[in-house]
Amino acid sequence: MLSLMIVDDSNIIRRKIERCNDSDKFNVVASACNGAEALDLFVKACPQVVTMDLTMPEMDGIACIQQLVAIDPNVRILVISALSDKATGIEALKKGARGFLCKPFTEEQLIEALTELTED
Amino acid sequence: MAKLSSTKLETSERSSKDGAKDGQKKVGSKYGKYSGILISVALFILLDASVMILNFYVSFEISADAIGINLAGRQRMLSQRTAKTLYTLHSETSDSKAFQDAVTELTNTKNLFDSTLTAFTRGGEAQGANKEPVVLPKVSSDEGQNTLRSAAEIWFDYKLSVDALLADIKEGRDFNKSLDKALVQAKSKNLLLLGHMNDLTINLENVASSKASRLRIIQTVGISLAIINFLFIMLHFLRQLRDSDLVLEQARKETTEILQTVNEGLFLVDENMLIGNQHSTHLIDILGVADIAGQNFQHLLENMISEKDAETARGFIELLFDKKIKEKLIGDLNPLNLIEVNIAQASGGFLNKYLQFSFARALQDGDISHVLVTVQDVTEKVRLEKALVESRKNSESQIELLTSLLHTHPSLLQEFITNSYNCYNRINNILRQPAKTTPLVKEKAVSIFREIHNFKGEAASLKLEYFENQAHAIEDTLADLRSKADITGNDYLPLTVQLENLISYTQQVQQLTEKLALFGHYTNKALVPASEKKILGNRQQDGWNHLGDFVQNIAQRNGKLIKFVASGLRDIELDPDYAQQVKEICVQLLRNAVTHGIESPEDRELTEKPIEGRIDLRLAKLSDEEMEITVMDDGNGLDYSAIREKAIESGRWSEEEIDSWGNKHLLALIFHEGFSTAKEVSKDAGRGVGMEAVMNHVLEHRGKITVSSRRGRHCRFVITLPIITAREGIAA
Repeated sequence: MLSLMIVDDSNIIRRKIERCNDSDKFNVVASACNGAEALDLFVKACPQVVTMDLTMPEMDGIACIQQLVAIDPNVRILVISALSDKATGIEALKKGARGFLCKPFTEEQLIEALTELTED
Repeated sequence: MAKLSSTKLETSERSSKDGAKDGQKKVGSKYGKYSGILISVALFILLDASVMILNFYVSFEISADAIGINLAGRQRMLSQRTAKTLYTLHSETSDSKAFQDAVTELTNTKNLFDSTLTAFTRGGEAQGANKEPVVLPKVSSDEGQNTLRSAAEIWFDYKLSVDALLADIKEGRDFNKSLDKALVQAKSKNLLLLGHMNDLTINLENVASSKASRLRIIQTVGISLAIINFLFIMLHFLRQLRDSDLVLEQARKETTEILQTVNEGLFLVDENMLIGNQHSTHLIDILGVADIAGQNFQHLLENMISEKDAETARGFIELLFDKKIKEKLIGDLNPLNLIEVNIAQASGGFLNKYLQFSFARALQDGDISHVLVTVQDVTEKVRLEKALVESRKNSESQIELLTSLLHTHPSLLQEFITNSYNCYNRINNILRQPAKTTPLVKEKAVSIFREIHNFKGEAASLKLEYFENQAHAIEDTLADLRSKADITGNDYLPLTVQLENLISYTQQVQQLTEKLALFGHYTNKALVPASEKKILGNRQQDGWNHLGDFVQNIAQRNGKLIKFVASGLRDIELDPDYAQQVKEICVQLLRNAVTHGIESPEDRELTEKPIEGRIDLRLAKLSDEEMEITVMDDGNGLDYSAIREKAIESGRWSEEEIDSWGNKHLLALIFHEGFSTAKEVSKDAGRGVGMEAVMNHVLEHRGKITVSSRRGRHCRFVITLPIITAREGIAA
């Protein structure tokens, strides 16, 4: 069971990702709606896996990824974003995220991506 | 190759069967194909070493033999000397010096001969040529030993007589008797002894020479074996080199064949974005660039797409070289998944293509060494997809058309088609009129606009959406033309294309309508019950009923709920062309009432009105010559402040001038060309030509328009027009 933190400003997306709990592989331990909140919760909950939206108020995904990786270089971050700007997605991966999932996504696609992300 | 692999298989099977050879297997697996060569080299060294040791040993023996031969030769000399010394003693007087010297020499010679003979027989120390002690091996050959034995037998008495002589001389006794005895011995035995010693020398020489020839044979055999071994090693090496070269060559050939045949562009890119030395032949065709090997991929891309996109592509490839990133999870970010490129042609000009790049990591010993890039020319696929979408759209619009045609009465359709052709003719006439100045050319746009707007209204009233959309597009084109500062006749070219399309579409509809009419004829006869036939018949004769559909259609599109009540529409018989104009007036007024008059259901609810608005259309005969058209809605009434704002916004009049106008003057504006209070241009409102068309028709027939309105309650248009019957015609 891997601990998972969700970072997304849309509560619909957050609720959708929270359904990962049913998969027996992931346990959602924190849910943040912006980068600043994500940093707080990350330090408290120490999740192994993070799903990260890119466009958020307060602190955007790229800045947040940078800070999370600085705290824990082993954290596995999956960027979940729309494909409007591929360059931003690539930038996020360069900053330390390890995978990208395109919105919209199905539950199966999400579990598959998270499983791939956490395999060595 | 197949042979090689099968041999390998056999070897591994054998060794797995034989457990005892486990150690060997380990060595074998460690050194693999080199084990044979290692054994050969070890053999070579062993052989060389043993030849050398043997050589060393034999050469030692030979040098020992040389000493033996030398000493055997000396024995011959010693036996002669013994005899000679005895004769010297016989001839000299006993007190002379020569006699004394001879005694000493005889003693030494006898001792030396005796000790050397013993050393030859048993092996042991003897005095060498230089008086140094040497060790003689026992003579090994039987022949030698026999000679020695005979010599020893002869020597025994000879030696005793010499010893007795020397004892007598030493004791100072009379030695003549013993000298004579010794001389007798010397005479009889010296030659025999000499012969035996000669035999010994020859025997030793023979042994040495046989040893030397044995050494030669050993050397020859050893060197020959070494050469054979060397040749074997050489051959083995050569064969292995040839085999591995063959395998390499085969692999190279196969790679080349693959790269030449494969239908895609294939190449490798390293971490510095440099393209590898090998790539598929097809890549040159796809990219239209000849020297690709060794080039920088990013630079290559910059010639095809924007620098920014090429930079994004570089970023993406860099991600692929990052081991931490999951290759499977970044496919969506590939910026070159589908790109449109223009490739310069040798013949000049550009070729438009769609390319699809895909990327895959190439691993070497678990590390990402390269990224394999696959390029496909998907132009045909993209074009087919586009064509498919286009044809789907077409068939959808066909179905739409068919549906709308099926929902429309054939007579109305016929009428619409006739009117359409008339409209196109009028537009053609307008286009054909000469116009040399810009205002005159612009004037044409205004006239065409009016025609098209009416056409759109009719199309909308029959729910013929395709016509409506096309008309709307033409209106957009015309609006563009009117907004241009300087226009010429050529600027109308796009418009003529649009008109052509509309005309050909109208022809299609006409054909379809005719077919449908035929079909309808049969179905009416065969399938439709008599009661319904009658209703259908009535409706077909009714040229006005579709106005109700028209109102509902616009209402639905604008999110309004409307109850439409019409009366008196069939009471007055009119000339068909004139009736058409009257209908146009009604269409415009009704459109106006729906879009501007009636409020949205929510707004109506807020003002405590029934959410369903009501529009009344009434045609009434005032006298034999005059009739009255009334369009009344229970909507918001005329919004004079909105009209005022629009007037100011139009910039045609100064604010003071507008302020000085009364409501009546403001009202006149709504019949003004290009004036609308709608916020945005839509199919139903906003162009500001509808009410102008109404005014034009009314003015043409010297009619009268009365508008009465109460803010928030209602608005009523009453138009008085002459009655023109078929007999009179419009011309009258």
